[in-house]
Amino acid sequence: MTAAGAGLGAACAAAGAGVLAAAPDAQQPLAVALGAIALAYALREQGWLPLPVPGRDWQVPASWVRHGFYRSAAIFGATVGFGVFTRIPYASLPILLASLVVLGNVPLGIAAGTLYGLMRALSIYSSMNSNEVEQLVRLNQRLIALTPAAHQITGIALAVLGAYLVTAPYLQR
Amino acid sequence: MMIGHLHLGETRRGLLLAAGLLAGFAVALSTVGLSWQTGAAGLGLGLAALAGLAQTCSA
Repeated sequence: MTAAGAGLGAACAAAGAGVLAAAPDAQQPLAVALGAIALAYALREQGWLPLPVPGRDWQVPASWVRHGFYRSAAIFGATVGFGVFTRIPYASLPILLASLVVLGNVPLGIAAGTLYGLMRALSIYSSMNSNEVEQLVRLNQRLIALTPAAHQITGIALAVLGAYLVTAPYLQR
Repeated sequence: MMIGHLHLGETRRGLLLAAGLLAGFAVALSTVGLSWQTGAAGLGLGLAALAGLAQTCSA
């Protein structure tokens, strides 16, 4: 899952580096436009603006994870770790990927993707000591109960990034 | 009561969002002299951690 996150971050940053190599003057207007989009999605995460989050309602098929523990874990982790193949309930992931494209910095893409993947896998780490189904269900319920707070916190983070991106490129060179 | 709670929640969220906007402007002002990409990279790493944490709450 973490490796998939790093791969996705690197791919987005490499794509951005390619675009910026062809059109270096595009970076600043793209950053400002992304800042405005991040601000709109900050309102969406607070429940004040009904914007769709790009993504797809797809789940890893059960038949893909019936091939032994390690192989199944690798397939599941790699698919879910990319983040973009399965449901994306939060706007923070697409905005993050777009910012990696705009910045076009591959080491940053790898670092941000790795960080995303590590945090994304926290539910798996925290379930490692749970041997009973009931414990896993309770853990899942506790995580799902945090969903509204997660929307609000990531919304604030989008507001910080959005305000920065619409301002900083004009203040700094 | 419910309306009161909803109103308080909305107000609190509004204040937190305004604080987020101010923080973004403050970071932009405090990093004048650096390239704007450097500040964006730092904020991007923070967003990456929060995006992963949030996404883990969805499964």
